[in-house]
Amino acid sequence: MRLILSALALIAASAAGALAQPETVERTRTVFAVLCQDDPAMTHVREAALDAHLAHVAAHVERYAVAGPLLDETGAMTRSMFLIFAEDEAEARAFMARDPYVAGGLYADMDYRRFVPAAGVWIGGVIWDQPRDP
Amino acid sequence: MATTCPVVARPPTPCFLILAHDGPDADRAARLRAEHLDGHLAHVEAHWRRYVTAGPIRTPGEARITGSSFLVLADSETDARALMDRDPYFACGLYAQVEVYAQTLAIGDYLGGKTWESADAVRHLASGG
Repeated sequence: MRLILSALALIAASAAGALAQPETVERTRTVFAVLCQDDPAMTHVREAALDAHLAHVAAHVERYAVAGPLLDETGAMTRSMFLIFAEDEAEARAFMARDPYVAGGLYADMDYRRFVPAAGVWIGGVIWDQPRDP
Repeated sequence: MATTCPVVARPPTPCFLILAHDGPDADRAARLRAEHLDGHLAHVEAHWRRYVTAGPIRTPGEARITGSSFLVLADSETDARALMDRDPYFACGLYAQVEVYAQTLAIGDYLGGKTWESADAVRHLASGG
């Protein structure tokens, strides 16, 4: 019993420490950030293809690190951001092309960037060693 | 594929997407990134729970870093910008252009599922609300 209590105290102490200092974690798979801007002439697609779009992203939930619409100053959806897992740009584009919002022509512009998730609560820490070399 | 996507609670804290683009002078950007790396990483370490995720961005197929992307948890855009302003990469003038958007966290590995019960529950948002 005393051993268990000691172990619990140790876990509590390390948990408190983790609040101050992040863990060093492994890098994730290759991620692409896809920033999509609505075509002002195609905004009806957001509603017309909503069911198909939501069904598509839910069916492929494992392909997204995080995704969702962006709101403008008035609270309207005018862009979307997708952080997706893909080996390369071609795979990222091929996957995005199957989204009914993309196929339906909602977006006037889609910007693809390779993104390295280096820190944050999603990966559970930071990817660099600590303490760093001076 | 017969994947069942769990429905999860919406995150309680608002999120902001901050896309920061390095200036056009690649040599200057690389020098500033190197000079302020320690300060930048120390800032991110000290506030790491404020980021859903953050890291460098590159043009696909190219090695050079062209900017940074931050998904920041903050009560307001002002609050999100205040955290960024204290980051040495922002303070040193590395970024020539900074875009800030209110980000809805709707689905993905970070959430462990999707935040909508049904399409009907979010239809009013997609119609321009």
